[in-house]
Amino acid sequence: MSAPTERPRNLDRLPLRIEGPHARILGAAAGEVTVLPRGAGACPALRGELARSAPEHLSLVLRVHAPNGVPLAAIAADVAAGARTFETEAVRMLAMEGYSHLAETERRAVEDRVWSRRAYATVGV
Amino acid sequence: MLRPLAKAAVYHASRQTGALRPRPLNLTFSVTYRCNSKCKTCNVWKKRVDDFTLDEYKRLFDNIGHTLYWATFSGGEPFIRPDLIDIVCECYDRCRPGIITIPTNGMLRSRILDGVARLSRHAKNAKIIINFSLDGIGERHDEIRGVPGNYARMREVFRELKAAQHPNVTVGVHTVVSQLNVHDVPTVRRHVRKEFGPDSFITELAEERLELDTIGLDITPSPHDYGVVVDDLVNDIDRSPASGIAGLTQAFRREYYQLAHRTLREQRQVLPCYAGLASAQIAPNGDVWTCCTRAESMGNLREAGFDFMKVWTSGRAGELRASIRRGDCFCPLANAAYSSMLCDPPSLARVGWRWLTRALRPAPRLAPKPLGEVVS
Repeated sequence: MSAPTERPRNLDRLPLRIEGPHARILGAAAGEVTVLPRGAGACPALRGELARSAPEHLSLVLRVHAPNGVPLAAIAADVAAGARTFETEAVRMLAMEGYSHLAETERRAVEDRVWSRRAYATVGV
Repeated sequence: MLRPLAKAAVYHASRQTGALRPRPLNLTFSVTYRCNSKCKTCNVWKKRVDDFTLDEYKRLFDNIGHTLYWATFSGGEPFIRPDLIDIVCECYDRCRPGIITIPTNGMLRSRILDGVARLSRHAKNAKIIINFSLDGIGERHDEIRGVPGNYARMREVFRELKAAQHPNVTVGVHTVVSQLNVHDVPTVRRHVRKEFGPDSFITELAEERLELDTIGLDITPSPHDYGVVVDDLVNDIDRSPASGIAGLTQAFRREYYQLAHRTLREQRQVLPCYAGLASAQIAPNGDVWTCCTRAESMGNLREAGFDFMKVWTSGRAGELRASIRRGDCFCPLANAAYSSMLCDPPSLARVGWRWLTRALRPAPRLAPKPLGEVVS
């Protein structure tokens, strides 16, 4: 797999990379997810559209990666049989457990710095 | 060396089929995030979690058993824990690793000198590697590490530990190559050789990692600049070939440097990654990670009753392995890369061929003392 070598211009729409058997299940080797901002202090959610309707109920794990491949955030999403679109809950920023002692604003600043590195998304089924 | 090679085939089969779940041969225990350095290339000292106690480590080591070949005790600054050597000795008694590595900033003099002396006596059959961090010369080092006087103090402790000549202890220098020092690394390497005379000199690329909270810090050098460093390191190895096992180690290191450069340049998993299979990391709070680059938890050992295999064989662990196998991520993390090279037949063939051709070549008459005798 080759990842993007430069950061996408529009950080609100991220390339979605779909590998191996997942490409067969989801009907495409690539796609796109849209970043949905939430209220102040909350992590964003993701919305995506499959190339074809889900043949059965699918449980997806979406990850958002930095340009160097490091996953920054993850979230599970369910796609009902026959549906093509999905929308996740707010993403969960990874490795933030060491910052529970920080005030909300400080913690949010760390999350914002990490989230600013988003470059592409991957999906597991 | 034979022990990990014998297991490599099992890891290879496991990665191909996803059917087997062998225990890792290479585990990193991050014993604390606390650190008395404030490096510009690392924010780990800002993190706080509920560190495992010595008793909790004992329960874990009992559960892991004699399957470990390489154990690394990292941090934060590992020596900041007064019970570090107790933890490492318990690991030795219960897991019998062949190699024990401890990186340090070299500032806690008596803990390091007394502790390593004690560990050397206790873990008689292990090869113990103490790696001192050095990112620049003199005040430049202090500036990058955020502690005035660090260089002088570290140099003194290094000298004392080296002079102690513990028979099973390798005293090395470790340099993190970042945007802050990438142009100085060849000079640092020559300085280390001349002024420190370490048993080994290793470098690692500064990456944006979740564990260290360095995402977004712009610390990674460009592929071009890092390529210059790699050429210098490879030329140094080629100019000073070691013999025997040290030569084999050099061959692995040479392969690693080129792998790291390719990974940075090509932005893909150049070598199939065995993190989460052959290697893993345990965070100070007991979270089990495939690696410190991803820092995604397979599960928590406290919650699993210190049952390592319960976490290691969980569905979450399988999902993370699948993500790595798909090539969702890519990085030049040294610790994982050395395990991956062991499990990758083409890498092993290249390393073996290089080692053999070197071994059959007549030794240079006035070869300088080689740097880089051990894998770390």
